[in-house]
Amino acid sequence: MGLIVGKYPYILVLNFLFLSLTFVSPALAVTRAIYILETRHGISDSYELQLHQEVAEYIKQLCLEVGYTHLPWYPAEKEWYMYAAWGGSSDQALVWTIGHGYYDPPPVYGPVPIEERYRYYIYGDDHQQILDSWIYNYTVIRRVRFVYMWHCFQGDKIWVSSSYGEHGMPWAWMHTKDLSSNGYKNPDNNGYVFIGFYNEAPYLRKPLGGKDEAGRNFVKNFYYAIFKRGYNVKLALDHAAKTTFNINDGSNQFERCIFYTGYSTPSGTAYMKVYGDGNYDPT
Amino acid sequence: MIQLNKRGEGIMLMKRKSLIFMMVLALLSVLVYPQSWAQSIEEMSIEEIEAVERNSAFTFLRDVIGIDIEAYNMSYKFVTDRNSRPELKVFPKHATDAILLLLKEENNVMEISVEFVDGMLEWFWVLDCQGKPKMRFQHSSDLINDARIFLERYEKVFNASYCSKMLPFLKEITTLENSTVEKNGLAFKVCVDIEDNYIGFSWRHVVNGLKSPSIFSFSISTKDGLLLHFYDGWNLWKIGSSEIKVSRDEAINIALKVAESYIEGLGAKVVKITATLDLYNDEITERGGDLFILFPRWFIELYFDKTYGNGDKITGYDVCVWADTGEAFWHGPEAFYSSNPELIQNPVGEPNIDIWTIAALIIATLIITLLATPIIAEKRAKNH
Repeated sequence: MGLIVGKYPYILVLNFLFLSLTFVSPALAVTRAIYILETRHGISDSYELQLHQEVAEYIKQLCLEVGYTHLPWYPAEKEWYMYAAWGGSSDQALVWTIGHGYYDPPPVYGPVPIEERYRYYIYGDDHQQILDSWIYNYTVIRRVRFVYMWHCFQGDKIWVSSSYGEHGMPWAWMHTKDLSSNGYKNPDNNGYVFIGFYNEAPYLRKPLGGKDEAGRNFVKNFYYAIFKRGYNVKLALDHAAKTTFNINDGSNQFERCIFYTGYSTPSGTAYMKVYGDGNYDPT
Repeated sequence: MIQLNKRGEGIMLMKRKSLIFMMVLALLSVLVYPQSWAQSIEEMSIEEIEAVERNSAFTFLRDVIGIDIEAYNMSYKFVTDRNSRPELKVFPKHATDAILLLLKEENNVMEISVEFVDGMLEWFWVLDCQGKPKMRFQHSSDLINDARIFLERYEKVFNASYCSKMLPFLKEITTLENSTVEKNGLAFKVCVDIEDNYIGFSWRHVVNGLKSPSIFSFSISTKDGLLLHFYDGWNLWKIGSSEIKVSRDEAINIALKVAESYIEGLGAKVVKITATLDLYNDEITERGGDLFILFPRWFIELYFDKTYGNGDKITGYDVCVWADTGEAFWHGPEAFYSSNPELIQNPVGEPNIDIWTIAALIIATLIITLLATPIIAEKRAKNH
């Protein structure tokens, strides 16, 4: 083999290219990318699905303006999550994902207390389960710098260990459990940030904090601040809170908006959680 | 980014025509008040708007807040959504611009955002401040006095005569503590944030006991007296109507009627109803033709006896009713991104780890290599 390669070095190059193409073909020669994964599995509300698309299209348009490659995938099948977790060939990857979220043990007789939840997952549009520990296998290169998961429960915990092994979506996507538990107030400055929901994530159309379609507006305003203004994650959250909820006074607007202070859900009070480095600037 | 040098402020980088234009604008910034530019701003090119708003931002920093901008090396970025499609704008039907400034002087760094809506200065925000800010004015140890001086200066420099309605509130404060005062159609709030070291002042419209969002506000650092944020939405926010013609019970009846078929379809039972009255700006249908116009609204929440849905977790139904007209203008299910517990399938073990797929691909590549090598070698030999 060594002889063959030594004699025909281009074969080694071809090999490398073949392997690269296998994994990264859609995003070849891209240094920054955003992976928009819109999972419709189990969602029957047609207006909510319309908002999914609207938000995905909005993020796509914005990131095009700053040279991010976008890969909006619908249907978001399991293999695309693998691709996103790998980070493609980009040096820096961002991930936006939306859809239902679950945990184990299943809450058959009502919500399970957070201390007893030990494993988190979502479903792809091919009805395949996407488990946190499965994601972890593909984030080893740590190209994914920022993940925003608009799913229930996926921000419950950074990491959890049980007889089933290690789990936790922030741990899985960021490939570390060394993340600040409040990346908004106390950023760890490590360049990795995860946003997810503790307990249930609201539908984008749901009125919250006195605003209709609070989720839709918040996400759009957040990504506007990231891509158009070049704000870091913390400032973009403040901008989104100010613009969505008309918090036109004081500082730290996100801290005073309903996503941070909490809202009622069937499992108890829910929050939008920021783990890791709120100072991370994607642009 | 346009680089601006110390004291030179980038003038050397500009052409003569631009220089003359800039000087005229600078003169205007003194003679004509910046807020009045809004009337003619729509006729200007993006470059002209950028120049006008940059001057306005500099005037605000230098003459109102008192930042010694000449002491810094300064660079800025102009961001506008004027050319964006309506759905990509911050506020549809309105133009939003931002001057993002970076001020550097050795270890002293300030990052500032000054934002404009339809050419009017709307929002000032210190994004980051490292070291000691270089100031033209000395701050006193009396923050209430500093607040009064700031407001008077803003009124004078930006011809903001409406500040005279807010100044009396500041003059009545004697101690720095959380407080709220309501009079003359305005609600004034003082907020002392010990954790984040600032004191905030804000004003809202009050009509029939209903409060608008903050229409004017600013906050000052309790550490060094620096203005941390400023919001002027006085000319943006309007009250479209304040008449409450629909009672709480009438609004609930309207909501129940709107939700009737949906509730019947689910077979749900309403066990709890809440109704909240507020002043609301409808961003979706833009009642009154503008999202900054406020109308009274009943927000009705109908709670179900249990969770419903075929995949969605539906816990209730929300209806918004205009309190002045009785029109139900928005309604929809209250739902969350988690399936109904009965429908969740228990996962069967760990999924297959696709490491085997990777291994198979590597093996396939190697086989292709081994097969292709003799063919290529043969071809090469023939060519030779």
